[in-house]
Amino acid sequence: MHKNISEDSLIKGCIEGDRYAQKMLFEKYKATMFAICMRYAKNKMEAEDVMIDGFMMVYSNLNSYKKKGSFEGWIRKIMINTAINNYRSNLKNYLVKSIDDEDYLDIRDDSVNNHENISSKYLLDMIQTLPDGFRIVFNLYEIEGYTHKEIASLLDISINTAKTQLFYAKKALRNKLMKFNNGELSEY
Amino acid sequence: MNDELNNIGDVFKKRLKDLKLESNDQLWDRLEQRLATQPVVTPKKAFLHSSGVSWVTVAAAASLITFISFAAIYFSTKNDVPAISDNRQINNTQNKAINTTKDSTITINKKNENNNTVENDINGLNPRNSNDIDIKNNVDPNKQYPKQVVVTDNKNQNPSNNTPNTNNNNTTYPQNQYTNNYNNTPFNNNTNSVTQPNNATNNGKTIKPLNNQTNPSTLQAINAKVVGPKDTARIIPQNNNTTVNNNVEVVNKPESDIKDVRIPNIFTPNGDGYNDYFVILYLDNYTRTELSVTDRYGKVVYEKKNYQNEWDGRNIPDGVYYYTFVYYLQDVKKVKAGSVTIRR
Repeated sequence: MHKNISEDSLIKGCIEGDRYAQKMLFEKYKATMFAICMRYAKNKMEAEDVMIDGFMMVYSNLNSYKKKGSFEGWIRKIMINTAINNYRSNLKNYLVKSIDDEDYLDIRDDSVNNHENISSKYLLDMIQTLPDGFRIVFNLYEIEGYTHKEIASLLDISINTAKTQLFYAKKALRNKLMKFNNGELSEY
Repeated sequence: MNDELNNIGDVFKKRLKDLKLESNDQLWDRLEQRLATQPVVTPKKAFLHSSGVSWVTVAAAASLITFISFAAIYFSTKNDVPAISDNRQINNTQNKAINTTKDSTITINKKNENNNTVENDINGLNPRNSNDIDIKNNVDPNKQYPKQVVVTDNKNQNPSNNTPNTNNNNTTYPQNQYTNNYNNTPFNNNTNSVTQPNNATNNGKTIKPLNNQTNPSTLQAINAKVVGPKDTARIIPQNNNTTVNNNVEVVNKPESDIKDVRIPNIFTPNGDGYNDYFVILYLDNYTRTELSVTDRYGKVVYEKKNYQNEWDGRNIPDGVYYYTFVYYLQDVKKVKAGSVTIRR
């Protein structure tokens, strides 16, 4: 859509507060970032909230981006941190069970014919249905590649808790995947 | 298939790491609304990140600063009489005059054994334990000390007056008048300095002559009235090379005047400048305090001795927490416990 504009000028525009540049930045990264937010959040609504907060963080901290590493990686890291903050500040609300489970159906019923893509969405769904602590730890460790020590300090839990949660998360996912492969979960 | 089950992390990573998902079309509208109502504040660049400063420069600057401070310490200690820095030293010098040549503060932390007024020098206070008196040589220049005392060298002015006048030792004077003498008066070296005669008047009020002035040829000094506990007077020697006896008069505040602490049951550490810290009211009245906070499961989330109203609930989520606040009023242990809500 806006491929002809360089990253540098985009960043510069955003720092100056140019709304058009901000929108283009958003358009450029929204698909990737939304997938990240979905992984960390419990449902679509929460993912959207996290994404908006995250982009606000991106806009207000662009000055401190030192052009080390890729810009996308930088945004990605901000998103993850925002998601973790959100998880921590909403910790007590998570004890309440969400009633809008229909949200998941939206994703699955997306009219995408690509087999690869469908199964990715299914995997995403499996992650989302994990208990909250398991989900965050699994995301951070397996997908983002954080160490247990980093995770422990990020989430303010002990290293052993992180390891245990990862173990159970993997166990749960493995069970689900096995059931899926055996065709037991026909509704997917 | 078995591979998939064994490396379940890799399966998910491969599929999900760079996954792209269509998001709601209205998302940008919501973001734009946020941008409109909450203008983006771009923070200034941190000093070390600004472009031109290399690490070499920084290191050089740091070492220079270190050198200067060491030099300053060296020169300042060289000319000074060893300063009184902690309580232990007071105990050691109980039978001698306490010497100080630097700016220092005297704090009487505890009620004296005599109920009302102690008119004596520090040695005469005979502290029951080291918590009675603090003398600190670090005077915070920004802090307004309610009482300030000037020490002057009166040897050259009127040596004969240094002889103790025993007749006046029992002189009493109205407490409130004396207090008013030092309270709320802006300090000025020239006008408010108290030269120590044995029986002098200052603004028409009689100043208690010093007891225990055994060596008239050394210096005199201090008239201070410290209303304790935790009231602090500042001692300011006028002449850097003088040695002074610090004579402190202690008037204890009636216990009923010391307000009990008041502990809030909620605070909102969201950085808006209002109620960002867990502030205990009237904390100043107590020198020894301990605060410990646990969450609902009994896990300790914050612990601090000598609490200074600095807890901001960092790194813990919103919710209800339980505190135990221990404080000592004149060696009597008191405990307050209750719940506090954090809401951001």
